Amino acid sequence: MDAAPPDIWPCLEGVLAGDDAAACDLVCLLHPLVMKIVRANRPNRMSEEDLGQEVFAKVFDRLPSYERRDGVPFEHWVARLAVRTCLDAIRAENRRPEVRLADLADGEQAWLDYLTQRSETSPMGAENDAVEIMERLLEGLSPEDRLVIRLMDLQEHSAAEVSRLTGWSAVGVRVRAFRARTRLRRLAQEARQKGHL
Amino acid sequence: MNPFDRRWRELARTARAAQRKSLPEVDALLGPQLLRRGMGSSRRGEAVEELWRWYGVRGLVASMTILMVCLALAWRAGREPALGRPAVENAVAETFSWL
Repeated sequence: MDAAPPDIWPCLEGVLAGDDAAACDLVCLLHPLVMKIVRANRPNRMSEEDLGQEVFAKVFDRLPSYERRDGVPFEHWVARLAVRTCLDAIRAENRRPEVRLADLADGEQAWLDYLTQRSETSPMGAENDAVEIMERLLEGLSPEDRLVIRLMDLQEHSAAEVSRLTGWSAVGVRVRAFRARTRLRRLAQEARQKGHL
Repeated sequence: MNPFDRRWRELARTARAAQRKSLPEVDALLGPQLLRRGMGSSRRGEAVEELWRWYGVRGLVASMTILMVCLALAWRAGREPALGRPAVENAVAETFSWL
C-alpha cells in the first residue's frame, strides 16, 4: 500500500526551518500541480523541466513572505505563481517565423481546413498535428489572450477559476476569451487566404 | 455557439488528449538544492545587513565629521584676508635685502 501523502502545512514549517526532507516532500506534493500548469502554458521553446524549476525556485524564494489565510489552500498561491511565471515566459518569447501552408504537415492542413469550414469532418488520428496547429494559431494572440485560451480550452478551467489564477475579473476573462476566439477565427481565415501562417 | 467555436473546441479536445502523457519525474534533489540556495541568499542578506549596521552609521558619522572640519577650515580661511599678504614678494625682498 502507498504511504499517505505528507500534509502541506508541516512541510511548509519544515522548509522554513531548513529541513531537507520537508523540501523534498513539498516538491513532491506540488509537482503534479506545477507541471500541469507549466505543460499547458509554457512557451514553445522552453522545456517543461526548466520552467517547472523556475516556478519551484520562485515558490521557495517567496515562501518566507507567504501569509496563510483561512479557507484558502496553499495550492492556490502556488498555482497563481506558476501561471504568472508562465505568462512572463510567454511574454519573453519571440514569435516563430511564418511558414507557408504548403510546408505544414498534412494533419495540420486538414485541421486548418476544418477550422475554416473547407472540410466538414475533423481529421482522424492527427492529435500531434492538432497541438501544433493550435500552437501556431495561438502565437498570433497576445500573451494574455493565449494564457486565457490555454487555461479555458486546454485545461478546461472556468472563467472564475481563471480569474482566481490570474487576478483578473471573471467578466474580463470571459470578454478576453470571446475576443481571443474571434481573433483566432480571423487568423485561421487569413492564413487560408494568404497561404502562410 | 458559432461554427468556428464548435470546431475550435473539437481541436482543443484533440490537443488535450495528445497532451495527456505522463508527467516528468520529480527531481529528488530539487527541494534541498532550492532550500540551500534560499538559505544561502538569506544568510548573505543578513551579513550585508549586519555590515551596514556596523559600518554604515559609523561611516556616515565620520563623513559628517570630516565635512564639518572642512567647513570650519573653509570658514576660517574665508575670514583671513588672503590678499594684502604678499608672502612670496616679502620673502623674496627679505632674502635679497641683505645682498
